[in-house]
Amino acid sequence: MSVIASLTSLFNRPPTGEIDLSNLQQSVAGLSKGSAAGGIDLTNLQESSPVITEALANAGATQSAGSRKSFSDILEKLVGEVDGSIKAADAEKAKVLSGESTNLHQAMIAMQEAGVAFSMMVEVRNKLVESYQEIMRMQV
Amino acid sequence: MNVISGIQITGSALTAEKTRMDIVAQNIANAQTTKGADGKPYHRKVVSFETLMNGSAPGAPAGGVQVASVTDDPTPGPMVYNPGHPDADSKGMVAMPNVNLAYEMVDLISSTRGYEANLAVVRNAKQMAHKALTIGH
Repeated sequence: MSVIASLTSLFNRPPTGEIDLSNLQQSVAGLSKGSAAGGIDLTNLQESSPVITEALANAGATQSAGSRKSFSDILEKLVGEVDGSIKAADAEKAKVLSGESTNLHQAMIAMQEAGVAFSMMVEVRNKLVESYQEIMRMQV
Repeated sequence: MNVISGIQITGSALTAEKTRMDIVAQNIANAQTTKGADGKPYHRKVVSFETLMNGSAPGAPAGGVQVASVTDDPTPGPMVYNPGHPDADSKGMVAMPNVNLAYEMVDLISSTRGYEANLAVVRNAKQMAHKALTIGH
């Protein structure tokens, strides 16, 4: 269960600017593949549940008729965007600290945005883990 | 990703207010400058703002604000009798800058309050985003 482990470790780490989310992105990519040992295939889940499919469509996924976006793609995009906003905040911070820019508020706003984006990702992760545990508890 | 809505607009307003304060700083600093680059006494600078339109600048938030121009206040400054001054004319009169410290202090307070108002918007927008994330808790 590398996905959950890395997500959990990410959650426990303090949200500083130095988080490298690339690991998480990789594990998210592996999420849909479903490892043999207790893995969960969310692609199938998505196909089987109309609610999730609808939710994904509402979440802004551009689903053309031919190519269906898998859940992991969307999650990966989310993590990538959060990573991007943290990196942008880092760049702004470095600009202010090196004296290249005097726009202190831009750096602070970028950092706050990154913080909120990170919180949102953590919430998504919490929901994901919650639903995973719900499924694992399911009686077959 | 835009998690805090409207924050770029407020950011542009903060930049604009900061520029206004920079100009006030420049005016106060040059309140006694009798010789500028053109050899004339310093003229008070006035900032004007304009609304950012769609596509007015790359990456600029539409509906935000930016500094339209920084222009000189053309009103003449007072003439002061000071024959010992290096910039005094043949009659001993010195043309002083048209900077009025009272005006500058009012501008200073106005820009500070404007900045604070925009910071309050940032703070509340962030709180709203945080509150929205607690939906379902």
